[in-house]
Amino acid sequence: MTESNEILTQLTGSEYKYGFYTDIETDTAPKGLNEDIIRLISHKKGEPDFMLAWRLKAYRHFLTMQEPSWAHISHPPVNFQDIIYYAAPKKKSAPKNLDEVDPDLITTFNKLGIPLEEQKMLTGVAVDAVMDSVSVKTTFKEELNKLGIIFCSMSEAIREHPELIKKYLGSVVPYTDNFYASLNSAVFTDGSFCYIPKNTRCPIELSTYFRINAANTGQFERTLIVAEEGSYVSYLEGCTAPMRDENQLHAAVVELIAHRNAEIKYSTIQNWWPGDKSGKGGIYNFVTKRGICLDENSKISWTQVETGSAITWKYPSVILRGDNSTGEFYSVAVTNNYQQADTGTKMIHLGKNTKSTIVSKGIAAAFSNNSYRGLVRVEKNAVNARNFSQCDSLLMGNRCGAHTYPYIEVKNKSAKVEHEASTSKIGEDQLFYCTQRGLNKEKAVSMIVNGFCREVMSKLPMEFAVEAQKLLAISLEGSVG
Amino acid sequence: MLIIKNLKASVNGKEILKGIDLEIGAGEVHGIMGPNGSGKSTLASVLSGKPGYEVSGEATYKGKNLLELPPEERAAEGLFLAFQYPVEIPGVSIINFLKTCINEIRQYRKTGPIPPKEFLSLIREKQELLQLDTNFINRPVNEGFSGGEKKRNEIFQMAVLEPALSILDETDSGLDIDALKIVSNGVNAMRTGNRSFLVITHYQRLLQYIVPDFIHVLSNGKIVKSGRKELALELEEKGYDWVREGRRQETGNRGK
Amino acid sequence: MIDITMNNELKNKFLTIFPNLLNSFPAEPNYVKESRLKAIDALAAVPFPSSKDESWKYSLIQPLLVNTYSLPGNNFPSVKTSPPPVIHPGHFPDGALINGYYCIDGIGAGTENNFMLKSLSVAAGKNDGMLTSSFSVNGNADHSFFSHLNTAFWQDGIYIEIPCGKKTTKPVEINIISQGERILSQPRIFINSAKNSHAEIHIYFYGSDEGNSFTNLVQNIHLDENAFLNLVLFRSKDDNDILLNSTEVQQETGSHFISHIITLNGKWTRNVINVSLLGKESRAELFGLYTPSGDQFTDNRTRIEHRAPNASSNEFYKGVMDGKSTAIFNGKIFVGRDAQKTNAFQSNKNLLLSDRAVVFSKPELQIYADDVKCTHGSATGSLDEDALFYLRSRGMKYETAKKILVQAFAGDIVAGVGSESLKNEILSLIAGKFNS
Repeated sequence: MTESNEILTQLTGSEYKYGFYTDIETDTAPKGLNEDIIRLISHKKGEPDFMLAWRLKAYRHFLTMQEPSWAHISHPPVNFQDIIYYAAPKKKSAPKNLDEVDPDLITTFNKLGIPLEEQKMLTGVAVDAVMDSVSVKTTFKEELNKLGIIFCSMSEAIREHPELIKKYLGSVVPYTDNFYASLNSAVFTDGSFCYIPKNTRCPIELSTYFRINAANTGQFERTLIVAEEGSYVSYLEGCTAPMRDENQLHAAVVELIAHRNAEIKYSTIQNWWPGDKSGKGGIYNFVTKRGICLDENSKISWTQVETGSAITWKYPSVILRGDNSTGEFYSVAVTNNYQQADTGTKMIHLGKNTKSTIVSKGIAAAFSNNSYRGLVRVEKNAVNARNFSQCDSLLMGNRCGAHTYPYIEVKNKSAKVEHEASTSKIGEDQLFYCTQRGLNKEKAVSMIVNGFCREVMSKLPMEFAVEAQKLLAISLEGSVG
Repeated sequence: MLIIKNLKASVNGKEILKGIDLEIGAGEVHGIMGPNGSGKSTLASVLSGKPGYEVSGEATYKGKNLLELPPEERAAEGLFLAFQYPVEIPGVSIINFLKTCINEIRQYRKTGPIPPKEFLSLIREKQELLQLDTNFINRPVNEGFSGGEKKRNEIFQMAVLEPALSILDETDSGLDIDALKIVSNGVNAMRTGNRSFLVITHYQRLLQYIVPDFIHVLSNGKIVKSGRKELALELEEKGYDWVREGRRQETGNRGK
Repeated sequence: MIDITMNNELKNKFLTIFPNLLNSFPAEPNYVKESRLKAIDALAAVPFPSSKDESWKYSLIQPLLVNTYSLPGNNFPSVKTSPPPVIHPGHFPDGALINGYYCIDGIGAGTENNFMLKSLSVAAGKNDGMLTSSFSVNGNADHSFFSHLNTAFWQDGIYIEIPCGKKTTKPVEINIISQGERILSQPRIFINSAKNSHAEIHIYFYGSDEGNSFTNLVQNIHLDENAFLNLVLFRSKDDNDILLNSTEVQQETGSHFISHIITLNGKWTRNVINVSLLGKESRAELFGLYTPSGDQFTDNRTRIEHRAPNASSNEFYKGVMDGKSTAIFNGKIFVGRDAQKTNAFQSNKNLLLSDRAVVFSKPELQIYADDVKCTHGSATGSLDEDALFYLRSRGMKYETAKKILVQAFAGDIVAGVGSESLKNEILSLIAGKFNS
């Protein structure tokens, strides 16, 4: 026990490495939420009329809704009038190439470990970087254009590809879906759009980096990925934010659409500022992510490594509509200090022979609470549906909590639905075995935790798996039970 | 006893048996050998009526069209399959299981339930034959059994049910030499009168203990070679490649 | 007689009639009166259950609303002088309640001195600390609306005590019977297992032939140090009654509690059991079996609270759903900060025999102590095709094979019932039910 506590203190003592703030001139709207702000956002972004109409409908619906209270989280009420809904880095004119991007911005991204130029050269990753609310620069765009792949900021997509936006935006997460999704629909400022044409395999990992920089800013980005018949795309998002005393709100919406034989792999490394050791500050991460396997043999796979945010409320889900479609959810959620996470997934089986797999690993340390909440629903006509869920929790220390809330609903007898969950701590015998072989305690803990999460980590694209592993070690620096 | 003509079977459109011809007379023991994936277990499954196969061709058993019968009627007619991978049935004791089987079969044959005393002495006799300890029959069917125990349980059931035609699907796999002898003894003890056997195996080893009258080599869904028992030794020596792509060859006389 | 309908009006009606009813219990000691008053306050504060409540999310509430029920009238509380119907020919139960009234005739002669059984209202006349706390508002019961209703309006019930160090020689049998049509009865049972005592108690629910009655039962069970209690709650009659049964169990150090909650039939059943492991090294084992068919509905909710170190709990619920029935399992394991070295296991398995049947399973873990071993699992599916084929290949008809598999599936839930005769009764009833 005492040894564990010692390690815990060491590990939790580590500092948030992304907590710097970049002094960039920003163009911000006044605080507050009303129809004028929404008109302003729409106008600033040069949006077509249908977009503004949609935003206003969402806002009017939002006014009728109440914040959800069912999750195992607690926080003071969010004052939605005390948030800046639009903050963009000021720029002289749109950059034509990397040289024209604000050098301070480039430095910021370098600190984040995503030097655009270098990354472009070395890893072949196309990066769409979103700072505060605006997409800064999309690399690799031209190469992708040749294949007919559209990868651009949401603002650009709304201007350049309105027919696709009209068809797909809100088709998986309607603006009426839930409180935060409604809010997002009304005020989202940017995000990424990705369109993979028929029978095209996107040759590189697409990636977006989100960062909240300005103070008192809410970030409401919106991501939409459409994979046409027979296409494939792997997409990664990463998130960071500077250290600030106040809580900042992040309410994103992600929609994925997979047509026949298409596959979308969506990976997230979420490392928003979690607040300090006493629980002060940090991001409220209230996110709606959902994909639909629209036609036969399509596949959507969510992988997430969640280490940041003061509060996480998110359930990346898959609607398995097409026959023989597959949904996957692989998650590692780490909470430390006073973090709270209520995360999981929903797998809705509608089509025949649909399959879903859920693997969730929750690690709770210090005073944190970590909950898995998941729904598996097999509807009447979902013949031969299969689900397997495995949810394991690891507790480090005696002031934290780990919880599991699976909802299993079966309405077809040919279904086979299995759920298993366990909660434990790192065994003293495991620690001893490792230390006896020469590892120090911290290494041993990190190794055991990584082993605990291996099944999920192995689902990450190679180049990000290493980053995720380091992140895991940093987040837990000091935490083991 | 069993006449198979041009038997074909496929799963999900993939043809596995591509036209089998085989005739097993009363009292005969036939061995079927073949490399992995040649269709040996499929043949056993199709003959015993496992759902999930699209089957064509003919299989006449005791003058009846076997392929038309549901699996339980095949069993009641005296056809027994010793499974390669016997499934675990938690919560059902072997004794309860066997008693129910016997009575269902007797009901089919319109002979009325077995008197308890007769049943118990039958069980006791067969337990001794298979050298099973007394508590064995109270255990749930196959649950927590070792590989060898599962196989022995299959042969024990065969001995109790006294079938006319037994199909042994890779009964030797996973058995050590002592268990193999016990299992073979159990089979050989039943080789009386008109009882027939179809022994499916990958290796020749089992056929040293259960000596067959005829041996057939199955390759790629067809019988490519048939012969007397010496064929097994030849196969062991030369390997399956010897016959794999070859046409069906007759190296001995067919049984009736 | 007062007629009431189960809906939002119900509460107001009860609140209006309460002062009159309170006056009809003149002999009641003050602490009981006070508990009724407190329950009325609590009732006023909670709404009638709806599907918006997490604890009623999947429950079929509609069947609760269709009937109008008769409340027992002015001469309440009272005893029942006619003997209860004979459920098991050739022997008498040790205690019986008809429509919530305590039966004084036709029950076992009570020759054993290793347990004590009497009317709850009689027992309540003697104020002892144990009973006072049992009448407190059941804040934890997750269908608290009906618990409060019972605490405010309970008619009578049964008090059982197994004295220190005593062991019952045979199971104590209690029959809970409803007679007549559309009767609302609200009985209460209190079981007091003293230190080092040892008992098995069987409670049979026996619905009315006329049907459509509503029984809202609350049970309080206390196990003192090292006490052992094996409790069987059994509903097997195919009746149209609604049964709500809420059981609160508190366990002290070293005590061992086993429950078997078995619902083979009945139109609508909701069994709630909350177990608090208050003493270290206490042990709880909860078994449940539900086999609804037709349009029957069963709802099983369990909550095990580990409040002390080195305690263990083991929970095993199984369901077989046929026809267009609906079944719910909701099990929560809660491990508090002080409950180090907890060992908790929970499993729920469901067998769907029909495409029109529906099952909802929600096994939950809520854990605040780190040195624990907690696992839960849930599996839902149909009969194992390989096992069916195996049995058929041995000569069994499809129906026989199915029956055997269902019986085997259900069998291990009743394995722990101490009484062989009850165990056999349950098994043969299951076989009978799935014999088609």
